[in-house]
Amino acid sequence: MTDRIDDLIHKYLDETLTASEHDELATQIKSDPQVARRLAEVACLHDRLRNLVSLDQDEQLSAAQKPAINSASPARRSVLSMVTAACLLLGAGLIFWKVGSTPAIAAAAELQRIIEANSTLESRTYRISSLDSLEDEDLPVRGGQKPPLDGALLHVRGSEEYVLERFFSDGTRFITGSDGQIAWAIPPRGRVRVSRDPERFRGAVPGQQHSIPFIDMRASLEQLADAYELRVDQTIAEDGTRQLNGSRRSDASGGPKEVTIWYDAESGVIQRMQLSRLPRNQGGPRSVVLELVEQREMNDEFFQHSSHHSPDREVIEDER
Amino acid sequence: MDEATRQATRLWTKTQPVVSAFVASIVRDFQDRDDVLQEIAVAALDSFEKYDPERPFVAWVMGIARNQVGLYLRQRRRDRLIFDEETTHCLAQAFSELPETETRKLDALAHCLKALEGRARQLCQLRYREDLKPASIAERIGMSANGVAKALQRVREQLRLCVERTDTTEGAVS
Repeated sequence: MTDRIDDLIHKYLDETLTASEHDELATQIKSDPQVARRLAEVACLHDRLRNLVSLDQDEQLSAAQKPAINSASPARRSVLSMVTAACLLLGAGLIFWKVGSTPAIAAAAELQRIIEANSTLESRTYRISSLDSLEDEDLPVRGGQKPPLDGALLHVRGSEEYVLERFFSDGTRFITGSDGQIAWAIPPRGRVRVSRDPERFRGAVPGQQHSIPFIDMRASLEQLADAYELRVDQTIAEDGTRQLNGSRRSDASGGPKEVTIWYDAESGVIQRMQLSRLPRNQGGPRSVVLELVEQREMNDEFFQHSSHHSPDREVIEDER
Repeated sequence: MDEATRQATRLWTKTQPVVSAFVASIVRDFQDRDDVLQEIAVAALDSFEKYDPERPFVAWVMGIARNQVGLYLRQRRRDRLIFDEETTHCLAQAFSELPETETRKLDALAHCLKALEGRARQLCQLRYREDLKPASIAERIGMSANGVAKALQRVREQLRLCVERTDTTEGAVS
């Protein structure tokens, strides 16, 4: 093996290759099995090294220059995850091995009850909380600042009408919504944009960028039944809620890894919904909670942009 | 736990180091690697009934790993520096064909790691414990990024030679 190939392999693992070097290495791997083999050998050592260094830090790396590192460093978490992967297999055997087991059937039946209970609801308002410090980045705003999702209010009626209010720290709002036919976006200042594509401006709605039709509650819950392994916790909390947990099936793609629903044990109405470990390749927070604030009558006008800005604002139509 | 789950767990435990290394060779972010590895573990268990015991388990599970890695890469197709499908396939093949002795001899790595001193030890810690890239390490310890990259390469080579020596010694004893 040439020194050049070795250099490329090591630089690849340390992520310091240039684009042309990356292409060169890929070409070599495809044309020479020995290069692929060499990379495999070095990667094995690289991977094992990573696991060892964090697993046995006290014994192996307790030299005087050891910097202060908290116990939840990325490497430590990595090893825990590795262990988790093995444990998961054991745990999964108990939880998922038999899809038709009693808990799975019970959870599916409970979900059906929740679907029925929530499909009949008219309009409702949720408060959104981000569980991490990352800010919503889905909706580009000319001029810089992006409205945070944390603390936002989502008003929903039926399967297509919604209003999402996001609040800047100075108290101003960025409002997006749709009446089912016209979508619109109202920044704190400047022109109001409208579009005949009802899906336009929906990017910021939790789950939207991950193909979770959260606004359409029935579709959203039915998707849970299709793509998630479900289990229900029979315990009823002091506030009268029960918990339904969903873990995304390994053959399903997109969406959060975990979904937890707290619903009224008696009526089945969802009180809170947590979406955890959302894919972040399209921005947005990693985990969010949507909490039911109120159910009240909302008229047609509420879902039209004119109800949310002064009449002197300029309104322009988007090309989309 | 039923017998099939026990068997799946046994096989997975044995194969995990090579699968993990394969994933790490494509998914270089350690956190993402862990996520992908978990997906592979669950997928392997979910479909274990389809595994033909006449075939090597590593080849079968590597097929699952390729699919999961493929899913991951598709989500990051905007990144320029990721391998294409053909390259990933060639790598998966290479990992599948690694002799078991190759991963087993790495058991000596812990012993070799203890022997590291000074700057080499520090580099290992910064790279593998703190997940720092050469440029960040360079800032911490006052070297050039290129110098750090070269030094890391030398440390890994030193460890590889140590592992080889230990393996040879133990082979001679046994």
